[in-house]
Parts: sequence; C-alpha cells; structure tokens
Amino acid sequence: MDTTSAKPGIKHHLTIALAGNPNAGKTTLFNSLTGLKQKVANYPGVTVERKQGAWQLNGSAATLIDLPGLYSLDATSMDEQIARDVITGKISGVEKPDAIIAVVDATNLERNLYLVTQLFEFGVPVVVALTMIDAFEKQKHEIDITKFSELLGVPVVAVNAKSGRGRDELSKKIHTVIARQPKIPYELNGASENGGPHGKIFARYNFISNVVQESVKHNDRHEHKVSEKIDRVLTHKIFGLVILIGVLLFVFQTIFSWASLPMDLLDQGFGAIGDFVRSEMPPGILTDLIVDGIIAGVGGVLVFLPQILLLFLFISLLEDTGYMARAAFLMDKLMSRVGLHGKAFLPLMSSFACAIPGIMATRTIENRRDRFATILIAPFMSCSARLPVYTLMIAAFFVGQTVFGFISMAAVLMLSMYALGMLVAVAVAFILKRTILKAPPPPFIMELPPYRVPNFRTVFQNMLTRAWLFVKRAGTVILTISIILWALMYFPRSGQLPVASGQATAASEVETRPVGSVSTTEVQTESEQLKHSFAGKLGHAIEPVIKPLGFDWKVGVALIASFAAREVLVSTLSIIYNVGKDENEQSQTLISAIKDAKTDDGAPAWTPLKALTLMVFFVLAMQCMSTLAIVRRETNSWRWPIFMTAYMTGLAYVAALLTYQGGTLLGFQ
Amino acid sequence: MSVQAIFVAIIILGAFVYAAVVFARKTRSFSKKSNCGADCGCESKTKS
Amino acid sequence: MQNTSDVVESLRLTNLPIGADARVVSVNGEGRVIRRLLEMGLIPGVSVKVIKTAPFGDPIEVRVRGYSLAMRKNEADSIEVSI
Repeated sequence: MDTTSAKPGIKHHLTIALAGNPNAGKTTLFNSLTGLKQKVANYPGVTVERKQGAWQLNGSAATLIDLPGLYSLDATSMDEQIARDVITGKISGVEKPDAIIAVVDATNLERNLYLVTQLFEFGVPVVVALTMIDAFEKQKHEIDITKFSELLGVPVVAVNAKSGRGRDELSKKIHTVIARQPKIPYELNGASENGGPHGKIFARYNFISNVVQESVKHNDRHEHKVSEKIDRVLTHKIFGLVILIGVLLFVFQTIFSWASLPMDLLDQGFGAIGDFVRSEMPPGILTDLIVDGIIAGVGGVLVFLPQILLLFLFISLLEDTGYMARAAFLMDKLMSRVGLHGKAFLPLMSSFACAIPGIMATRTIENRRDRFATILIAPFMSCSARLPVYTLMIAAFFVGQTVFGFISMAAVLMLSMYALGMLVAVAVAFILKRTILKAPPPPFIMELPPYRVPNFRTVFQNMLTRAWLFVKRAGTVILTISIILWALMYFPRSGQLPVASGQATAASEVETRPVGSVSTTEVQTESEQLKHSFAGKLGHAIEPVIKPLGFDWKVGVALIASFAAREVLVSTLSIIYNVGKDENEQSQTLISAIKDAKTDDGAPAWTPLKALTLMVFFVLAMQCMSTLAIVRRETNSWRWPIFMTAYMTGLAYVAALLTYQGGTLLGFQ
Repeated sequence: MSVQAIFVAIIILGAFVYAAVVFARKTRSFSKKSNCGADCGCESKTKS
Repeated sequence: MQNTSDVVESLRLTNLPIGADARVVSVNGEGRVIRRLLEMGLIPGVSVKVIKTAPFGDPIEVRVRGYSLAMRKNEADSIEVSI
C-alpha cells in the first residue's frame, strides 16, 4: 500500500480517487471509465455514499473511487471529512489512493481549481482531467494546455467523458505520476500568518488567478449567453413560478397518459398468467396462494412499472438539465421563511423518488437541528411508492374530467397531492423550527450550473437502475407481504360455512374449485371466508376507527397492510376484492372492482370522495418501515421514528377526517 | 395434509422469517454493508 | 482593507444595482458561511456582477469567476464591493 519504496516496475493493483466539484462531469467520467462495473455502498459508520468501480489501465487493474462532489476539502461537513479520510488512507477497507484524478470543468476553471490546490497539499499525486472542453471551445475561449500543465505542476488531460477521448492519455499520465511526490507550487506556510485566518484561501486563489491568466484566453462576450437568456424566462420574477407549476403539471399529465397503455398491457399479461396457472395446476391451497396471493399481490404492483420509469425519467431530466437548481432558487424564499436550509432542497427533491436516499443526503447539512427538521419532513414529499395508490384512485374516479377545459383533472389531482405534501411539510418545518428544533436561520449558497443538454446515456442508465430496484422490491418486500396477507385472509378456514346467499353447497365448492370460470356464488362464499379470517377480524376491529373516514373493514385491512409498504395497498385491494377470473385484465378489473365494491350493508364501498380521502391519508401518513429504520439509524434513537409515526399518522387521520366529513357536509359524494 | 398444503406452509413460514430478518437487519445501527438492498434505492446524489 | 473615504458608507453586494460590474473589497465576518463564500471564489479583488433577484427579492444570483452563484441577501450583506 506504500507509494514510495521498494516496489519496482508497474504496480499491479492501483487505487485511484476521483475528485471534483459537483456538476463538473465527474460522475459521467466515472461511469465511462468503469462501465457498469460499479458498486455502491456506505463508508463504515456513516451514510456517505461510497462508489467504487473497476478500471483497466494499460497493464494494471485499478479500483476507482468516486468521491462525493465537493467544493472544498476543509472538512466542515461529513462529505468533506470522508473525502479527506479517503485520501489520507484513514478509512478502513479502503486503500490509500495511489493517485487522484481531479476533474476540472473547463468552463468554470478558477473555482474548480480551488479544490485541486487543496489536493496538492495532501501529498498524493494528481492528474487533472479537463472536462467540458466542447462547451469551452464553443464559447470561443482558448487554453494552452501545455503551459497550463506546466504552471500547475501536474499533467493535464482533456477528456470527453461521452466519447472516451482522452481516456488512454489519462491512463498513461497516471502511470507517470505514481510514486512521485507532488510539489505545492505556491507559498502556503507564510500565508496563514500574513493573510489572517483566511490566508490560505487567498494564497490558493492568487496562485490560481496567475495560472489562468497565463494560460487561458477568455472570450467575455460569449460567456453564458444562452443560459442567461433561458433564465430570463424561467426564473422571471413572476412567470418563473407559473412556469414551474406548468412544468410540474405537464410532467404529471405525461406520466399519467403515456403510462396507461403499457400498464394495460401489463394488466392483461398478469391476468393471463393467473388464468394459465389456475387452469394448469390442480385446484388446491397452493394454487390459491399462487394465483390469489402472489400473482394478484405482486402483479398488482408491477403493473405500475411504466409509471415509475417515467417518473424517474423526468426527475433525471430535470436534474441533469440544471432546472432543479432554478427551482431551488425560486423556492428558496419560501423555504427560508420556514427556517429550512437551502441545502435541504436537494434531499427533499430526492425524496420525491424515495425518502430514504433523501434522508441520507441530509448528511450535507452541518447543523444537527436543521438536519433533523429536514429528515422529519422528507417523507411528506410524495414518494414513488404512493404513485400506484394515487393512480389507482384517480383512474377509478377522476378520469376524463378536465379543469378549465384543457388540463386533465387527473394531472391536477396528482399535482394537488404532491402540493399538499409540500405545504404540510413547510408548515411542520415552520412549527418545528419555532419550537423543538430552534436554530439560527441557515444560509443559502448554491451554484446555478449552466443549462446542459442531459447525457442521455446517464439518464437511461439511471432509469434502468431505478426500474430494477422497483422490480426487486416487488419481488422481495411486496412478495413477502402478499404471502403473509394472503395467509391472514385465507385462515382460519372452516369446512362448514355460514350460508351467504342461498345457493351455496358450501364445503364441497371450496375444496373442489372448478377450473376456468367462476360462478358468483363461489365469490360470495369466499367473501364470507374473508370476513372470518385473521385479517377480516382485524379489519372489523378497526372499522369503528376508520368509519368516520368513509372506509369499510376491507379497506381497513388494506390500510393496515400498507403500513409496511405503501404500494401494498394496491396489492391488498387486489387480493381482497378477489375478482372473478373471467376477464383478462387484472388491474382494470381492480378498478372496476373498486367501483362495484359494496360494503356489508350494500352501499357502494368507494366513491370519488372516499378515493380522495384515501389519497389525502396517504399523502400524510407514515407508512414505510424502511424509512423508520433509516431515521432510527440517522438520528441514533428510537424517539424520532416514534415521534414521526405518531405525528404523521395523527395528522393523516385528522386530514382524512376533515376531507371526508367536510366533503359530505358540502354535498360531495 | 396434502402436498399442496405442505408447500403452502413452507412458503408462509419462509415469508414470516424473511420479514423478521429484514426488519432486524434494518434497525441495527450502522453496519459496514449497505442496508439498502431491496428498497427504493440509495444512490444519494449528494450535490452540496 | 479600509474604505478610502470615511464619509461614504461601504457599498454592499445587496445594494449593488443589477448588471453593474463591481469588485469585491472585503468579506466581513467569521464562521463557516464566510469561509464558504471565500472558497467559492469571492475574495478581495475579484470582479462580481449581480444578475438578478428571485421572486420576493431573495435570493440573488451573482456572476463571479465565470459562473453563477445564488445566495441570500443575508450572505450578500457581508460582502463589501466597489464599482
């Protein structure tokens, strides 16, 4: 692991760290060097993401470590501290890097070079990878790379992560610097005494200004023209916010409409599989488990894969083009009014996909109270697991209607649910910051990266990763819960059934289920069984509590189940409503099953108002064991997860109550 | 018990065990291995 | 660094009119935020320009060292500039 002494010739396994500013193209470079041979994990003891990959350089195999994007290495936040520890070899399980590739954005030289100067001070060999050269050249700037490299004292390689240009040269240069001690090409020791507490910063930037002046010719006229023009519209004082809302509406509208065809196809597919299994397998418990439990439960959720894909497509696009930063800029005033940290924006945005990475991203927030406040409200950002629930309810009752004649009601409702979550989050943050998590108002310093055409390969890769994770979750968590739920709904079973609606020759029908179509009598019989099962009893037990919300005991069962994972609501309803196997579409049938479902006294189990109430409940309730587990980890106590569950669910109940009762009073149905 | 019933019993038991194991693993504090597993995903885009 | 004239009150980044080119004179204060501002390149001598303000007046967007930086008026207040 040493870099200086007795290792003659080429070292066979290298460890190389990749450092650079956020938005500098570091991740694109990392992806292009390692392909898909990446591993994502955590550094021991903390939740800073650890990304490693394998890279082949002429003759040596290397482990490439992607450090978090940083502006500086002065160790004020967890990210920076971890990066320092990686570079100095203090992290157990990670070898001290033999070299560091410093990714420098050519269109943003001076600030990017700041980090590079700090890297020099660590005594690890550095090679600079200059990215965004194409944009640099398009802006008509010029750089003399040889001189630049000479003045910096390290090799500089221009790379184009997308095309792969510069990769070989990069490998070569790395081999040349290894085992050589880099020099710090400017006077650092005097700086602290002469320049005061910030002397080092001045010394570094002075050096940088000199280097850039000598080797780069900037064309002032073209800088950022395009981005500025776009921004004039997108971050306009008045229209900016209007446009933001418009963009969001568009995104939801698109997700809804583009996804519907593939979703129907998936529905039919699962329905067909279920039919096939039922017809090929001998009738019995296992068949029931497979068809009514597993296929209904897991299939019910997998149907939403197209939506998930589209959601992540848009999140990626918004982020990679740079629009997310503008959204943060527009929203900051509101956020700071409630005491939220500017750095909270990104974690909160990530929570729209899943609160878990969002909560982990709060590690960049230094103040403990600010961080906790952000963690506590992150789950209000409607995560992707709620999407199937919203979609199901909206598709059942709100399709085909429009607002103002051209905006679909579906899109408006979706946006409203997301907006509701955000509003409540803001309100809660406000209260928290005023009471138990009081802290001085946090600062907001954020780079607004120039607009970029997103790298479609990265976007695509991201989508696939997400899709895979969704499927994996369906195949594990959802599968497990579906099995357990099915069991709870199936047992206890009696051979002797209370006669439901006359016609049943009960016992024999249950045991020897005819293959193929199912008569309504059997479905009735099954529903009696359901009532007397564990799940049924549980549902009936909580029915009085949820009745004021407009829910019956079946919905109660689904509600309880969804506390393990939100999508399970869909699975459970799918299983509970035990639809007849004549039709081929399953979720379609789930939608019509919902419309046709009746409560025990014959009234419709679902109405548009009840659907809305359910959605409102889901916006606010804490229903994710995984999130609670992460919160427990991040805050190191059980107090916070418990508090979170209590206040969120309480809030959800009250909101749902108000929605249902209020709506009924106002005459809605 | 029929053959089918045996399968069902095993599957159900397996499900309960799996659930318990996953829950226990998740709530244990900081461990070296990534605890993201089958969940929504943990790539945190930490851009400060 | 001191103001050359004691009569004129120091001009802060917050008071800088939009589009005016200016130079940073000093960054006043202590602590992490100040340090961060310096590290992002806002050190005495560098040229800076205010590009726009967000709705409600806060935060503001500033061009420095060739890139765009957003910060609140609170932070901008600690930066003394001269045109």
